[in-house]
Amino acid sequence: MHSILTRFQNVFGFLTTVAFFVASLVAITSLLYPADVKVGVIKTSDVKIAKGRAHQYYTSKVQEYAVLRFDLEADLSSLFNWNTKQVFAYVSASYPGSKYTTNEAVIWDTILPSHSASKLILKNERAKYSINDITGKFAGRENVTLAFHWNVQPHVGRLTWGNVGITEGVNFPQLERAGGKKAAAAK
Amino acid sequence: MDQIRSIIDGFIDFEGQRLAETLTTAILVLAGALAFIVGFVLSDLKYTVYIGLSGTAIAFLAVVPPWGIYKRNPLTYLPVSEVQVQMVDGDGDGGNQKEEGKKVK
Repeated sequence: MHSILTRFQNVFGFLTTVAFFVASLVAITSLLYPADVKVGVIKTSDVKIAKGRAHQYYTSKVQEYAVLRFDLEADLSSLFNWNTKQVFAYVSASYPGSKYTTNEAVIWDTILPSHSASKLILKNERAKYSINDITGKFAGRENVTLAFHWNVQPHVGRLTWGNVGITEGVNFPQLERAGGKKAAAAK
Repeated sequence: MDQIRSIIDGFIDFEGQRLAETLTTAILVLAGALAFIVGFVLSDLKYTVYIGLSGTAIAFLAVVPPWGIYKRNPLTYLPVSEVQVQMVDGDGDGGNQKEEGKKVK
């Protein structure tokens, strides 16, 4: 602590130690707020299957896409505490298959930036993402379930995930044979 | 030139160093604890960050410049005595060592 330079180094060095400990304490306090997410409603309200060309440039494969509509009511306010930066919430669809038995695809997501935006009420919401299967075939698929997931992103500390609310399975309809199919393929 | 050098160096005495060390620890620990408690009670991490940063600024301001409070116990050296000066001036030892060195070679 003799000269200005050593005093500066000393203060800065101890500052990093203190900052580390305070940040650790803040991260630990996240454990004091257990997640209590209430999902009132989650169900598929409508499914449409359409044929379409793959969006990727490297293949011209024509495959079936599913566009879902769903209802969702969820209260995520318990996830917002002083150490929550934002919450990422998403809805996924899971369905069985014969060759690939377990499939899950995200159909909708959102970012909840604050406590005031922590309640989700969606009626007949259109999925943000149309999904396609690895086999290219979707029509007539049975027992498709929806699940609600969240991911808490804290200011300091580790990310936490959770999910709740698996709906009763619905069946995908058969392919629409009308002009809609041609229109989709022509795109 | 010496003045500029002494401003840049900013030397303080031994008691001052002890005081500076204590102040660094105290200010930063208190600021850290206060930052955590206030942020937790008011449930907003912003307070934690701002209180922590203010505490840091205060610590830097209080400790880094060579304030007068750190220079209240200057060391007083004994006056340089005549005998010592002669010994140093004579440089006899140094010369002898060199000669001895030559002899060994």
